[in-house]
Amino acid sequence: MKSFSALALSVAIAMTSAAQAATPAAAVIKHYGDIAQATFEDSLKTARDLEVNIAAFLDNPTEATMQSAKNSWIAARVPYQQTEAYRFGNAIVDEWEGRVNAWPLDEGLIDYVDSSYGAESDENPFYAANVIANKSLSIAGVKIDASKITPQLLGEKLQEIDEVESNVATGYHAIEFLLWGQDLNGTDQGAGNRAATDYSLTDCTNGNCDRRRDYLNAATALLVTDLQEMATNWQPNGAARVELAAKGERGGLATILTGMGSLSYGELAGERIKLGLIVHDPEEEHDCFSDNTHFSHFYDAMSIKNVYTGEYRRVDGTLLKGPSLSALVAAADSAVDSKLNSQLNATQDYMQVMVDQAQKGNTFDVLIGSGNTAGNAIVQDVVDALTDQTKTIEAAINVLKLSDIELEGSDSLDDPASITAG
Amino acid sequence: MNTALSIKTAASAAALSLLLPANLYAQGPSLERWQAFNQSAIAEHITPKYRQLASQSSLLVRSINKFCAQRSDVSLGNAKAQFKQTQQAWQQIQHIQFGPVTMLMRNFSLQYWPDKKNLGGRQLNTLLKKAMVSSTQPSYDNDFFAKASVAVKGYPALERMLFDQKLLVQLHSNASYCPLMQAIASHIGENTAAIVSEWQLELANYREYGEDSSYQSSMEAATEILKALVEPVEGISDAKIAVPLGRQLQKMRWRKSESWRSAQSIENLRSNVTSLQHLYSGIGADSAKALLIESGAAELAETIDQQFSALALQLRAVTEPNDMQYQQQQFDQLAQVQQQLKRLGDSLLAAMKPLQINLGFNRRDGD
Repeated sequence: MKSFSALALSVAIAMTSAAQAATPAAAVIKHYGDIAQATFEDSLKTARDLEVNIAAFLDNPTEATMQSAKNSWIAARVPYQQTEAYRFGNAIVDEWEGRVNAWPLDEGLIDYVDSSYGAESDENPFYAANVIANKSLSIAGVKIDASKITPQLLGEKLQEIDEVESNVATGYHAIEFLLWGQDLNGTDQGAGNRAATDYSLTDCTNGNCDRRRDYLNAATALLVTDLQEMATNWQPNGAARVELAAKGERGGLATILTGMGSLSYGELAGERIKLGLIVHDPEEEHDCFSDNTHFSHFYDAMSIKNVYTGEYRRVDGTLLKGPSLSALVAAADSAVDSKLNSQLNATQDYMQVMVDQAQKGNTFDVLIGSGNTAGNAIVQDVVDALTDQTKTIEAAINVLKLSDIELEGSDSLDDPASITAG
Repeated sequence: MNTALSIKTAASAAALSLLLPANLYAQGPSLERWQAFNQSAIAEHITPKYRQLASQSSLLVRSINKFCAQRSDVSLGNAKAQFKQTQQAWQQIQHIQFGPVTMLMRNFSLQYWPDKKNLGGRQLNTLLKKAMVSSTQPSYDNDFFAKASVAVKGYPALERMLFDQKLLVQLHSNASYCPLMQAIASHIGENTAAIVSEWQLELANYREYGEDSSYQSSMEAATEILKALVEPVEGISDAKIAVPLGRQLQKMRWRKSESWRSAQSIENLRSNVTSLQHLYSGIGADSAKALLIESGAAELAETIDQQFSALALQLRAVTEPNDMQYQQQQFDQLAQVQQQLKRLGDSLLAAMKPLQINLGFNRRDGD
């Protein structure tokens, strides 16, 4: 019962010092919501910049205007990836996430692909449907009128069509494919290399430029709408805040730690990094068209650190800082807190090594290549660092006495009703 | 079997523990009891099952070598039959994700699955094509396996080479087909033999605990074993049943099932459930079930054992699909198995509370 009374007491005490005084859990949870709000607002802002640059590119499709569209895509990923620690644990984010960041995708659904991609897949009847080239689709008993490419067509008809997850018609990675095209360099250096003329109305390459333009416009508009929705959810009294508050203080703290641990271990270390390393396959790269994967991982790791330290550097350079989970953990067990802080920093350092390699042309797909012993080791270091910090996240859960709150499966977190139903 | 009752028990156990302080169950098992559990799990479950896997894998090496030396329908049939046996030995110990099997990523090397992007198929094709255009016969030696993708190293790769007709046509046309298949089998044989011998050294980690050891305490070591008991249940239900079955009969996609090429996807489930039950209650007086009873949760302990038995019984009635497609009745049967697994998973999670075990994050979180 000790933790209950300590929390109750701390709620009554105003937060006056940033030091390891009694930080009220309620303040930590509120600030966690504030960082979410800021990060999603920044994601929305940079997506709008992307929209502007894509409009300028389509207005005058040259290599230069295409490059600035690509640059704004890369910039848009910086805040977005920093939202990912909110995904696991917050059902409202997790259920929405597929619309904006689904991966990996069977890009043949969207546009033309190289012959090495193949024409069919055991898993996916829409593997090579090529919506841009086909005004109507009739596949596996499903008929789709694709004569007009609209956000509704992408979001409501094509996304995850036939219940196949790799049918990704919307979000960052669909736009990434439309801007970069397939990366045909395998585990050698180089990213996708789509020509700007793929969007030219006068000089069209690879056919259907008008429909490709429509697709890029629709996907970008949809991304902005979707991000707008989530930024609104995190406004004070928004749906995400309400959902979080309904879990109570212990539930809220468990949510923060669940997000940190799940992203750290199962998702980032496992699904997104180690998997690529063990199969040495460039398809297993999060940003496989742009080769921006190093930064996606880097900012994912930063997301975990942000929610722990209560600090977020906004895209305009201002620092958002407030009551942190770190201080709460420190008050309970300073050794666990300092270990976790140093591990989060170490992870960032290992991520930086990966970023530095990428600047030299050794992007993630190069590093995971078969026989690239040094590259493989760099990636393995990242996996190990993420795994190590997960163990300490578990320790933090223990010192805050939250371990009786179910972590994985998250039934109790996603559906508070299930807790009281018994 | 009163299933309705057992769900309620599990659910209310889970709910109670959230509403009441964690010390409702005065205390979990002592460190001595956890140590006894560890010893039994290793001696009665882990070691014998790995020994079985190694011997089955070595039989597989011989049977594939025999087939390659003398190719006939009969010798191919024998190799296929042996493959199935070996695969079931693997399914009996697949849930262990700690110790020597994790060294050098052997766990992934033995079985890379699910293979959502058909990497096994693509990478095997690339290797075979490379061999065709090369002027010299490639050598599939240690260096090759050190660099190779896990998708071409394990049981699924062999399954493709033995059962996939599209691939098997290359048996005669491609001089590297048999050498590659034999090399993969030998590599599996060596890996599984190494796991067995390394477990002898691994035992030291269960003798002394502390800062400088693998585990801080016998309880921490036991947590790892309990993870191997609890976590696979959800994984089996999701990846091995829900995904290939789909939400309705028309959406069934059996190619997403684990071993459809050798028509063993259901047999795998039987092996998994039987083996998990063995780990739960079949290892003598120091089993998880016994410890649960000692911790004052006798009813839950019994419920779990009954849920395991009910599942095994249910699975006995399920057949592999004909031509990759079920009829409604079979579909419903398997959907029921999935429901049962969900209940079993809930009960096992609830059991961690009286045992005072925190399982922590697992590999399946996220995604």
